[in-house]
Amino acid sequence: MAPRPARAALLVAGLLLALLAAGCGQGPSGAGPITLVFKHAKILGPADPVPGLLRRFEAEHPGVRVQSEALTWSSDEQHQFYVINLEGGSPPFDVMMLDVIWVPEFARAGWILDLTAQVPPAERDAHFASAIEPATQDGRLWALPWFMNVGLLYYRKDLLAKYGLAPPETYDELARQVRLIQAGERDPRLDGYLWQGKQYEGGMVNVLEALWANGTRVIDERGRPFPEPKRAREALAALRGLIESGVSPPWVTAADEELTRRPFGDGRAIFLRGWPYALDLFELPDSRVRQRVGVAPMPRLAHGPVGAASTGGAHLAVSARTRHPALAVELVRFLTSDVAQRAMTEGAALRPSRPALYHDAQLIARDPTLPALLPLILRGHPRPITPYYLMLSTTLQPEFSAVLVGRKSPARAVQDGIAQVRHLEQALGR
Amino acid sequence: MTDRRLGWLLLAPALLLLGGLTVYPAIWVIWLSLQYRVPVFGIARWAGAAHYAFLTVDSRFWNAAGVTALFTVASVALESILGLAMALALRGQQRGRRVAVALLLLAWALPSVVTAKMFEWLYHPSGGLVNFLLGGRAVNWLGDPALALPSLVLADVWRTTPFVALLCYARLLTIPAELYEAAEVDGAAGVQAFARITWPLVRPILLVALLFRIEIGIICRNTKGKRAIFRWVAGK
Repeated sequence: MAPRPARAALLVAGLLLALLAAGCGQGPSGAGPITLVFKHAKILGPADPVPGLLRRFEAEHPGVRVQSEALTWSSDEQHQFYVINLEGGSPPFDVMMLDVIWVPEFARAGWILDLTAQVPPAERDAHFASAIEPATQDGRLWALPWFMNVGLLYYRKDLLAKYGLAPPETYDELARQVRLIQAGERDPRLDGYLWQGKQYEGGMVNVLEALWANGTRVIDERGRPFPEPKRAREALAALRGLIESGVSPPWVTAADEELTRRPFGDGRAIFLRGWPYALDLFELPDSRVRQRVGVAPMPRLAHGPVGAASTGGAHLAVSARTRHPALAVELVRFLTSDVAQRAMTEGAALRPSRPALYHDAQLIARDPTLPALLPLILRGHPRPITPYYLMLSTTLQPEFSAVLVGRKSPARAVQDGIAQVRHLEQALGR
Repeated sequence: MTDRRLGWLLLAPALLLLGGLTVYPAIWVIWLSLQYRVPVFGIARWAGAAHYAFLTVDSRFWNAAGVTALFTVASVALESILGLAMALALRGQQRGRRVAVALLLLAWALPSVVTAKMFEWLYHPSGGLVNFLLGGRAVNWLGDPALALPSLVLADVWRTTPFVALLCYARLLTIPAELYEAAEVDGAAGVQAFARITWPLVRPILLVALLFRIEIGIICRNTKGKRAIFRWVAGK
């Protein structure tokens, strides 16, 4: 009774698998054109330059087709998509866009190809060091930078000028300026300083910047959490202090980039911590703050430097399971080349990872913000470069969030954070 | 005897399915909890009771456990009281009963992800409808630790009260009208009729509904759809 249905079931399962394989695969191998699948997030901006670049690559490589596939919107979901597909066996893509913080993780997991041999040192060194460093592990290069990000202090040029102020270099100065301007403007809807305090990676970035601004780090090079606990406590207390003193509205503890970018863009805040993409949005013809926005380095606390902002951005890597490694590496090198990054800068609201382009007169004519951004990027800090970064970040985020909303004292959060990281390290066997 | 065997035989597929879907994963989870596992980096080591030892001193765990208990008790209590009241009101309603039932079903039939997203927008500190209706106040419903849990309980009550109401209403419809007529003849009406007829007959079904709700109340904190909104509480 049993064998026959079982065999039938097996047959059906086999057929389904075959269908699936045919659906996911790249058609008959050998003969016909080669298809490379390029997985990346949707590129925002006046004109998406990616399709044009891909057609150009195809024209230079006859018989090759590049299929571009969009990733989901949120960074957390992108990461989940990659982990499921890469851990699961044969991923349906050859080239992938990675958030810079994932590169060491993907390299350690063995999911991406070592590019060291294919990328000459001169080509590698044409990118910002702070973008190459996170893509390098054990002396090998695992990805190439595609575009660059850095944390900025946005300020209202018109308001600061009205009160004869220069952009603040310290958080104390920022608080004084907020009080002065708010007292003078008498507008209850004008907030002081907006930043991202929600419990997510962006919130982690804001805390890391406060730690750097006070001359300390979340982990040292040996992986020890909070090497200078006193400074870490001071940094956390300073962030909480912004809310308690009214310099920042209480809702920043639930805010992400867009939630803070919008009120600032509506002219309802004096300062904003944000990424460069917002610059383009503030200068749109219908923007209420058009030509009234300036950018400055992030302020410092007692023990740290000015401009200790986080770098970020996206890298391109090749799947270790690709069937066309040589072509896929070619595509990555092409998309990160001088020519392609020029097109990306012109067409999309993105900044290149090649410092040379920040001096390019032709490009500056298209994007006048480039010269101001260069020194800010050069001062930027990469987030901790470790394969375990995401685990570290999600482990500590609840502690930081608890401080920002006033549920935990900074001292308690640092103490609990150390315990949590030690537990994580135990699991990792370090 | 043969009846008995036939019974087991007929039950077997369901038992196997349930066993495969619940017992096996449960045992697997316990087994995993005794190990260090990070599949991405190929880490798989025996941990023994280390994870449990950490939980006993992990303030985050105790906070999450407390919040879960509070959430479950508060939401289930409100849902059963409001649900029963709605069912009674529905029975007494003369016109538009079908529309009312359809509206109740609609709230319950919305996928939880949609409900979660909807409430996230309603509670939005600067652009949310709730703050707008309060006259443009900037209450941070989901971000303020004192307000986050009540806000979530309210969202859950909105979503689940219809479920309890419909179950109770279905039971109310099966109570024969003669019972109430007989009670009236004997001089028992209003509160007495409720206490002696309605309540004893509805109670079993309400219990079933509560069991369902408590179970879901605990489970849904780990499901993906609600995670976005529940994360606000779990960590704080």
